[in-house]
Amino acid sequence: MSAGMSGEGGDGGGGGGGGGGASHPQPHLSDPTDFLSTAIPGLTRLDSAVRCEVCKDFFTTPMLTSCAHAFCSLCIRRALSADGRCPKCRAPDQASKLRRCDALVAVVEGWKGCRAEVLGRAGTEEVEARRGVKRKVGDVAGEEDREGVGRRTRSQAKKTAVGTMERPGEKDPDNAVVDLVQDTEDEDDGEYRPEPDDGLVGCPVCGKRMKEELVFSHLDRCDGEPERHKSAQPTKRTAGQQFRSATTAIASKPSSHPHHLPARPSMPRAPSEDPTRISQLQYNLLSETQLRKKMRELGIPVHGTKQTLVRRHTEWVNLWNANCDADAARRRSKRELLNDLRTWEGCQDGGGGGSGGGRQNGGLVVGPISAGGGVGANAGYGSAGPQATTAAAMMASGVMKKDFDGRGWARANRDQFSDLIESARRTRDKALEKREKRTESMSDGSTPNAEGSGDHKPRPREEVGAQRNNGEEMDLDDVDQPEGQQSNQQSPSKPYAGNDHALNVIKSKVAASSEVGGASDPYVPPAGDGGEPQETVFAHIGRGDSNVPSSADDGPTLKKKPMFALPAEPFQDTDGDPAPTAVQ
Amino acid sequence: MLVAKRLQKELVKLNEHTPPGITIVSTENFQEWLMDIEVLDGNPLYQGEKYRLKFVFSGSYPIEPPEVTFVKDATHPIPMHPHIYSNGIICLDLLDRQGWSPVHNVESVCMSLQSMLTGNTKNERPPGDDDFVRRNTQRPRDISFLFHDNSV
Repeated sequence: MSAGMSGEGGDGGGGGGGGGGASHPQPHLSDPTDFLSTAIPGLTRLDSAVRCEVCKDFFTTPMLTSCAHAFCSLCIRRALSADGRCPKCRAPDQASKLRRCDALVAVVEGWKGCRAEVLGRAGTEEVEARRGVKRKVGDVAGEEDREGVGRRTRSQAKKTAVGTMERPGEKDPDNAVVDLVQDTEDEDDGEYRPEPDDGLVGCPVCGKRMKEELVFSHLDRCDGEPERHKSAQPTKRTAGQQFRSATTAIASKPSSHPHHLPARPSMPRAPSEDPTRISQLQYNLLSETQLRKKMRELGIPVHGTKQTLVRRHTEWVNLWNANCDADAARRRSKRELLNDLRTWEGCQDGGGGGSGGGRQNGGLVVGPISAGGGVGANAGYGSAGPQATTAAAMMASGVMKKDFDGRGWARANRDQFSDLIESARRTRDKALEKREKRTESMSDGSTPNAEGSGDHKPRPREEVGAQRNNGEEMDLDDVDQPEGQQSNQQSPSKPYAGNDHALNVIKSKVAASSEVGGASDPYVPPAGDGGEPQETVFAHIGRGDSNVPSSADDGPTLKKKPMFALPAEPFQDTDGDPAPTAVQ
Repeated sequence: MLVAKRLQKELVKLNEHTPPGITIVSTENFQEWLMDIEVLDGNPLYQGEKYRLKFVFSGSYPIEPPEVTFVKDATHPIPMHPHIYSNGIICLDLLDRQGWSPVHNVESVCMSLQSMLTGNTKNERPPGDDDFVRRNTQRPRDISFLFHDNSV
């Protein structure tokens, strides 16, 4: 009847790819406002009543909070773990106090099953729709509202049942509901009335009445055969059950035949079937190692910082427990849950690092913001190994936080960064110079060939780093530079003061060496070719930070000296150091 | 996934019906939206002006609040209000982690801000506005506001 509808509403957080890269809502996305323009605008209220206020979708495994509000299991678990309060009324609550709400499941399923048809009819055949549907509006919405009250007493349930039976009765006297409700009421009356009079108690199994002290011995041989066979139901039905079957009958279809009650789609399961729920941990009492161990036991990924671990564990507990809440038929495998966890991680701020994040973000249009997450991504997932000490220092400032504000940080510390860049550049120049001298002292052309091959490697890397600086974006590479600063003793105002001289020296030496070595000298670059990237690097940096007064001036000077681009030596000395500029 | 879906639904609803004084400007993606709001009840402070709001959604929306700021451009000033800094940052508990609840949405935030402006009679900025605006490099979500005024 409405395959599209139920598919759309059913998957809650799971299905994911619904958005599929579209930046605009799909036309089939259902919403309560669909009914506003129909013959029965009142259905809008019903339709929004069976939706979770957090995800705005039909309830997936609805759970009741202590304050009697209903949400999808996953939604309320996430909200509680973030906030500890009911999203609706802000009353404090705990995930462990959540209770299933099967009645609401039935209402949702029933409504989802016929929504499309109702929508179709209400939109077109006004009169018919009015007759066929109004009953649902009144009754089911009524149930739903009352359901919100929470604990139900017996008399309430009866009242509800009577209420529901009367209205359909007006139009359709031999409706299934009428039969059902009266049946159960008779039964109840028969069983409960004599209770106070006779001083006896009923056997909890067969219902036979006897002296209190005889009950236990009777129970040993009781075969469970009910004493009376007044109704089809052998044991006494609880108020809740009565209520539920009434709901089912109504929700399933007004046209259901008498005595042909639909089997309850989601009968409460035996407790033994329940998979065990995981409890949240006291994260601040656990060391990172302990937490990792626990997570390994659960079989979930253990990489990342402690904060990442905590977030991941919390989400896993939510996913897992929400899955436990679901009906057995709808429960998902651990593999699927792990997949969900990965998807979730990909959607978090910081993008979950290059590989994981990129793929999962498919549903979202990547905008300027996602670029801002760069730092967080690096911090959480990148190879945090080499910078252990720096990273630890950065921890305190929150740099390692997954949702760290890289732009803000870069802006706030711009002065410091540009100082660092400057000094790093200076030390590199010094190194260049030293190198040059050394080369000088060696005989020309005797340099090993490997030099030429190493030449190309570090360059693109450096260029990337420079461009990042330009965009005011901070990176681990930049933060790493204090090492460079420590080794630097020159005055920061004129970083290239001594250098001009050095450059001249270099220049003259190169000239001399090329005279000697001729074209065979491996140090002579292929004209403009090799010098190009280096120039762009400096040009970027010069524009990027206004605090380096001399760098822009140096640009042209550098351009004239292709020699500068040549030796990649300094980088060679520093295998494994990811910040090429931090060389001393 | 959850963000995109939830925002799609909000957008459908907004397209269907926008409350008076609220206009959708741009909802190109599910990370940043622009909305315009007007104060309709003739409060002399805000008469005839339109204010532009920028919503930035994190990956955890709606569990976490969106980042909402006023944006200033040629036609859209920043409204005068004792809780709105002149760089557009809004000090409202609703937008803070503590005051936020996942049942809020873009529409309800817009309406709250509308009513916050409607009820205002003071033509002033928050104390220490100049200083704050000059110094602040943080995102609104990283600022720890102190909510003291219950009259708004």
